[in-house]
Amino acid sequence: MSRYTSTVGSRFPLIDSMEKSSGQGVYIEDMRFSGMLYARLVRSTEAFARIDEVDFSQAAEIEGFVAGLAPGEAGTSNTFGVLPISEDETPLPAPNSLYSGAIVAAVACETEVGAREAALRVQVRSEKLPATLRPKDALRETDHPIHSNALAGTNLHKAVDQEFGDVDGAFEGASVVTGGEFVFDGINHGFTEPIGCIAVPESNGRLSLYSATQVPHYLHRALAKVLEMPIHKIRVYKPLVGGGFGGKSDPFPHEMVAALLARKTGRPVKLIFDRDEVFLNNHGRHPTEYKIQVAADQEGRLLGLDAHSRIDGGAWGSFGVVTTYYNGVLSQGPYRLPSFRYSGRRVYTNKPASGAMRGHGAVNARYALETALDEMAERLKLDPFDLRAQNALPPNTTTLNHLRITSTGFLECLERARERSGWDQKFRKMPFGRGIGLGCGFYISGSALPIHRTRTPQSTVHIKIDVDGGVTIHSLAADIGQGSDTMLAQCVAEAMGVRIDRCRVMAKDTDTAPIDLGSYSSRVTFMAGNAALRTGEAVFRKMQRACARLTGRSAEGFVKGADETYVHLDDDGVVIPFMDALREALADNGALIAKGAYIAPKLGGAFKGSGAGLSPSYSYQAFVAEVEVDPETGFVRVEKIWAAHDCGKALNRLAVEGQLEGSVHMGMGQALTEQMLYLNNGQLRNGSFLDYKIPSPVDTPEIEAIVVESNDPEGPLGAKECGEGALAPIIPAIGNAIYDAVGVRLHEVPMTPERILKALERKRKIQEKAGARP
Amino acid sequence: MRVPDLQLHRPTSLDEVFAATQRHGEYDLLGGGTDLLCNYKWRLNVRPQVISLRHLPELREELGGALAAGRTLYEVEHCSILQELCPEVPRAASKIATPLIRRSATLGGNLHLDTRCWHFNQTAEWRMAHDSCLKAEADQCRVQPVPGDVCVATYSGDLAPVLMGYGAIAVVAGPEGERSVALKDYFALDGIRRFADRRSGELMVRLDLPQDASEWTVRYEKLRLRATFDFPEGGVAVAVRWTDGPGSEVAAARIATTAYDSIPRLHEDLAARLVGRCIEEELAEELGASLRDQVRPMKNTSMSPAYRKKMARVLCKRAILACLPSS
Ligand SMILES: Cc1cc2nc3c(=O)[nH]c(=O)nc-3n(C[C@H](O)[C@H](O)[C@H](O)COP(=O)(O)OP(=O)(O)OC[C@H]3O[C@@H](n4cnc5c(N)ncnc54)[C@H](O)[C@@H]3O)c2cc1C
Repeated sequence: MSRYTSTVGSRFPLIDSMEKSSGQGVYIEDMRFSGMLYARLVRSTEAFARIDEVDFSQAAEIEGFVAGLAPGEAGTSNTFGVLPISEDETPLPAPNSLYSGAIVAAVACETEVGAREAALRVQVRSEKLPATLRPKDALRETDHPIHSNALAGTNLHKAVDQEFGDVDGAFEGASVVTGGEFVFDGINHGFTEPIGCIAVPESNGRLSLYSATQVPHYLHRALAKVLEMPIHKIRVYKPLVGGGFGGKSDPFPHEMVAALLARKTGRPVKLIFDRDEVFLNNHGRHPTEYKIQVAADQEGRLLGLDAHSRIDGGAWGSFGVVTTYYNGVLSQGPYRLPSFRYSGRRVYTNKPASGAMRGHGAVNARYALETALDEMAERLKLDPFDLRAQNALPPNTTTLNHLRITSTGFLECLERARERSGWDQKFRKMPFGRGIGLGCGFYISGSALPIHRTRTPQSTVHIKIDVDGGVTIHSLAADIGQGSDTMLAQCVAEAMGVRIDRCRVMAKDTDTAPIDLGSYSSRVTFMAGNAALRTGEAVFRKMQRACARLTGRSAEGFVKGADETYVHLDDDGVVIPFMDALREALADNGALIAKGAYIAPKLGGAFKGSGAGLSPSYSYQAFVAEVEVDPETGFVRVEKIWAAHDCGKALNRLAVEGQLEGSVHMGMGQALTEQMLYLNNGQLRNGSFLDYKIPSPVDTPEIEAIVVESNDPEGPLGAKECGEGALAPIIPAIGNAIYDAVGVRLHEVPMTPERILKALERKRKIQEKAGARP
Repeated sequence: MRVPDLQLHRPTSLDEVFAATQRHGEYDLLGGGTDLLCNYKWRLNVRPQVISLRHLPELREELGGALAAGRTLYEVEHCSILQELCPEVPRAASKIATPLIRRSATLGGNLHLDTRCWHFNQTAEWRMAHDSCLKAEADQCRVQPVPGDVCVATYSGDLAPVLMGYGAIAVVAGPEGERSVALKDYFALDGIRRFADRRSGELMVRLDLPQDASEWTVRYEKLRLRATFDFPEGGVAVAVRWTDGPGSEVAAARIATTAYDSIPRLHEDLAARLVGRCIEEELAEELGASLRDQVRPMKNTSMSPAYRKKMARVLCKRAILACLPSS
């Protein structure tokens, strides 16, 4: 019998790749509305100031000036934020402006050039306040806290303290303890498409907001709150998005400002950022100070982990409460830990806000842990692979903090990375200057706990099929370039037994799409994918029944056949083409519609903060980097990366490899070159792609993506995440390779040539001193 | 980001250029625009009149013994005559910016590249928050705040030190005719004024190479974080003429740096120490150390002055050793 051939595991381009690469695709910058105005923002020139007055009189002289929006106007001081527990952002200062470059006011003009000119002419009168720029200062008491919700008269935003097992006992009984203090500079997502939006007042009193966002649903909620409008009067529309990486996963002040200006003028208002404004908006990875100690016995069995982090949240809460937890919680894998202590402190400072970024919360902590393990392996004279393998979390178990572990391909990741990289022939065997290093990781496949307390499913998918036979998939999962539209189409096609190109995905419009929480926490494939599968299966059952009506055979007997047909199990000769079955299904009914949803299972313990890090499944990684270090300059050339990642099941191999390669490249940027730098007055110094150093294609090494499949029992067709977890391990892999090459461990990231050279000089001095001693 | 309104002139002869420069007091010359227009977008010293040099035949002469100022860096990079005559010029050109930029950027534009500084190469809004700097709207230098100071913005062109190594001579044309000046004397140590003796209405037509150019071995070492895109954070060109074939005693030498001052600079005292010697590791080390002690990088580029200073030694040493035929 000729059966349906599954596309799972094959390699095919994303369904929107032609549209994007041909320039036909519509991004926010491409959109125009008649009567549209252009907005520009006026930004703070002080790190911390009370805004007393905004004067538009000179700006109003510009031809085409239509309106200004100043603090104090309706809606501008309404609070919002992605997490209900820290809704501390306002569209405009209320009345304090919190960082140099923060939005203070806005203008709307007939032309973009006019708006730029007008914005430069707006006069702001303000009273300077004492700014807090360094995290350690943020923990002191102050008369001028950045937010009133800060703890105990300081600028402390969130404190997390967790302890499981007998940590002190573990360290007392340990044979080896390794670790130390680490410092990580803040980094920005560096996505290609600058942030932007268009707010359009509709004739019926509604308002549409078109925005390049990862989280249409959260934006929808925030707009309703700020505009004080019923949520059904608002529509959020997401066009194509040119990359996000977490940098478009909050509702933002500029979206509120555009909406308020549209309401004020009664006209569409377009607001697109320049690159420097994207940096000022930031919400990137937190600058982090991390202290870690890891204990093991003589055989290298891990006994305990003791970690402390202080993270610089900048001006707003954003996802920061989650980040504070993740910095500890996500260090509980992929290793078995009998005891664990973690304390995290997130502070507010007068700088652009930090937030979520690819690998959210896990990346910096991971570098510290994997570096400590490398040191431990050396001290115990164990191979770094062996040390990790013997401590691997087994499948179907729970961690100390009640993370439920189901599928794991970690051991296979280790085996294959070791074998492919030729590790055993290279490690500690190559000439001075050449090195190889291992870094591992583990990441959530979707946060099991929704941000808002609700019983609504985390992902719902609708399907509509009419007489044309096209399968329209409605969802609010946000494709930001990662390929989630393609994934939805594939899941539905698989479930229904049709070709992917029969499916069209409408994942853009809150008016038509059922709720999906959006693209963050690596949740989309797992959650929206499962919802899509279920919806497709519901349609398939309708098709079975239609086939049964047409043939008089049992409905359950029909299975998916080759070339979009349904065939009966008992009789090869009974073959119903898809369109015939569809016509029967539509008869007397009209368009076929179906719905499917996903809710994560109830997970976790009963302690405070138990929700953090819970996920229906986890991904695993083992990455190897080979590097060449120039000991005279400190320059590192990454020669090759072997990236073994357990993604459950590669639905589309090409897409998985793309995610792994992208993660490696991005992680390499944090490892070696990227950092946000500030002047003493709190001004960002390097807000451009010339000065913020993302690795170029020339700097990017050969990357061997090694796809490991553990077939997750709950993942859609066995799949789990592959877009975020793969970023973290590359940084310690490079760090440990540098150690193998030249014998220095970097405790500052990025590992710039200058830092490496300093470490080498320090080492040389110590050696000279030791040599000078008799 | 938008280029502000301006009037673009497209003269097709030098006389038309001079007529335009005389008519409009405030103008800028435009080569490929890859430097000037970026600055304009950030509203850095925008002038209302811009005179394009694109359509001047004098600036588009075939590359050869002379290098026409209007030729693109791409053309310089791929010119087989230059690859024979002064191979380090095309090689250095190939390390500039990105392939896309090199398609537009011109040789003249590269040599006249505006000086760069943290406090200068920023948006108008950024500079407003900072009272900016000498080179833009304010009257104090942010890098070296000494009253009445000169601008210490960094010169970051790659070709100047290499061309100085070959002894290139700049040919400029103005309303009063043509004149020649050695490239090493072309620049003035002031990040704003930049040129020693620039007369009103003048522009660079070409660079002439001296007769003996092909007898020189020139090597250029560039410091930058990424292998493409980035301006030099330090650059050292070493040029030697051998007494008796490659690797023999050095008969004459030149050492030039870029990205360490507001001009590209020749270090004659250092070069003199190469003359009469054979190149070897120790000598290269010694000269590198001396160069390190001489350069005074400012805190106004990506890498720290301390590091760039250290790297002057390495760059110089490596450039010297690279002159040896065995390298
Ligand atoms: C991202 C980026 C990276 C870069 N990296 C490097 C690098 O690594 N190394 C490097 O050397 N450069 C680098 N550059 C600078 C680049 O080389 C210059 O932008 C280019 O060479 C300038 O050429 P242009 O023809 O575009 O000059 P324009 O922008 O047109 O002009 C620059 C200046 O030269 C003047 N000018 C032009 N032609 C003449 C002439 N014939 N006579 C007198 N004055 C003239 C103009 O008036 C203007 O002041 C980089 C630029 C960018 C944007």
